[in-house]
Amino acid sequence: MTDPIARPGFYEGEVLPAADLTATVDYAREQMARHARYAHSWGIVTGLELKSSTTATAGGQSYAVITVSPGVAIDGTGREIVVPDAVPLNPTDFLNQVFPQPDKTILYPVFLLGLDQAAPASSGLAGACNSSQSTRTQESYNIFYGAPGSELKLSEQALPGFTDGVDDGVTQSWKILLGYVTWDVTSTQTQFTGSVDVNNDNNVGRQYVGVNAAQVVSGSGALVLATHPATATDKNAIMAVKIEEAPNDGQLLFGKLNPDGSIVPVLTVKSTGDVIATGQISGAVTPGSVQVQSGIAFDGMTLPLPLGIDPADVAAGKVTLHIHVSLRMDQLQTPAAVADWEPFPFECHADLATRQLHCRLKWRDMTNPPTQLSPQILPAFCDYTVIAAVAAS
Amino acid sequence: MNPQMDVLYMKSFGQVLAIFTRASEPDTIESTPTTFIGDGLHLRGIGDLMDPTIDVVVPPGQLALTRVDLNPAQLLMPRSLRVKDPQNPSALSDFLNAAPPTVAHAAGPPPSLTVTATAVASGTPILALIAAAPAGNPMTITGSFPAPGPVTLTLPSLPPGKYYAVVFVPGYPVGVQNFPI
Repeated sequence: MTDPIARPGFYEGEVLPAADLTATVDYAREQMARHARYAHSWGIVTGLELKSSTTATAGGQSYAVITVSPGVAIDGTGREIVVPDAVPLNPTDFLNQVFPQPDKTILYPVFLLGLDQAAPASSGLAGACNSSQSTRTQESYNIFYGAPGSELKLSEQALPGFTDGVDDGVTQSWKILLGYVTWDVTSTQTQFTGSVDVNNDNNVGRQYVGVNAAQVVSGSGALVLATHPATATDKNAIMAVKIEEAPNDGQLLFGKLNPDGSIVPVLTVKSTGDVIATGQISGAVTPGSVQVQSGIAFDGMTLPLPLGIDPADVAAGKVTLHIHVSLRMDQLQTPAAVADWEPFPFECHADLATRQLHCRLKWRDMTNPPTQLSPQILPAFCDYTVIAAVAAS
Repeated sequence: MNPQMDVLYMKSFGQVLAIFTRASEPDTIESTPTTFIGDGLHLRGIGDLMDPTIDVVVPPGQLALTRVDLNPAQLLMPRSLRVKDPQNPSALSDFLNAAPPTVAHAAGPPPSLTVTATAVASGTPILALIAAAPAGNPMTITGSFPAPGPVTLTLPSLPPGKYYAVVFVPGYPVGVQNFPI
């Protein structure tokens, strides 16, 4: 059975061994780690972006210089990882860790993990303090590269137990994906060729920290959820949802977030139940509604359904179709230029089960005697109307 | 937005087989013609024009859907049209007075079809749908013209009966021939 968590305590006259002093530091650190581990989800907090700049050799061959920007991440053990300065990625490290393939579109994941390192021992101290032992642990980090596919299942890394501390990067570690780099083995330059944040083949990209909460409550009277901070410079539009109070009203807004924090709403839901949309509302068909499609169609094809009507719903009986077709008798093309052709209806209906259109004319040569093979039965057009009645429930 | 018309055509060969319009047009055209052809597009009024039972089903995999601006002069005459470029089907055209390929049947053995198209280029592909009369799902035979001149397509063993060969050659109207086995 696991021992309960013990909080260090001291008494007057106690001789403090190093372990007790270390325990006071570890207690607070592990408490913070448990909060990070269970009240949040792991990932990047800020920064740590792969910044790529293209440059060229004197011979004109281009390559990419890639830098990890400063930032902070929290790993799955609750460990805080701080990268205080920009770190250029080293192509030599890449070649030592990965065997690049000829396909220059292959993405090689770049990982970050926290790593404890003993700081250099103190020196110049007097007496018993003049030890060769280190009195600090540097909370450093390691940036390394993986084979394609090694970015999968990062969320399945082994979690520590409830009373365990954070990883040290040696006996236990946790990988955080920063992005991907590309490499061209045919290039004479041993350099990267670029970087991306997301592998579009498997949709695996950078993971950011989250919150595990059943309630998120604001004390300001307004609550904003946004895809980036309002002042972030990003090529994409920053989208936001805002819930805000008003003296006699309240509303939910969705739209683009301006740098000043305001939202350009495209959808507003008032507390009174009014819904205001500046665009078109489409998608699922309203139960109990009637949808219509009409037009001109040719023999042999399947009649179109009204927009939004799913053929599977028709087949399942959730939608009832009412179909009307009538032969189109104007602007007809006669079977041949010669002879006195007159059209007569031959058939005009749609199969109820398949909506396949049967629409043909019987053409007769009215010349006496007929000069052409007659009658001829030819496909024709119809005017159609398809009404779809959607079941109320 | 200009009114549009939707066109069902032979995907690799260009012949238009049906056109339709929709009063409520979708924002984007469907990626496949499945919704408008079901298990296949029924071709009637081909071959023996006095026989109303002829019904050849063009398989869905041979068909494609495109959308062009509504042209009243083209709308009601689909089978006299082709898409100018099946790979980039943005415009329709007539067949520039090209005659349909002619199809001759030889009893064999083995039975075969000889297809001739005027001024056809070497390497031009050909597709033949062989359907039992009066109706049914056809078998598909493909080939290409080896040189300017006719191409011979060997037929598989078929039970006795009346058959239709519906022949598609890029740039030519649909060729149709009935033959006995």
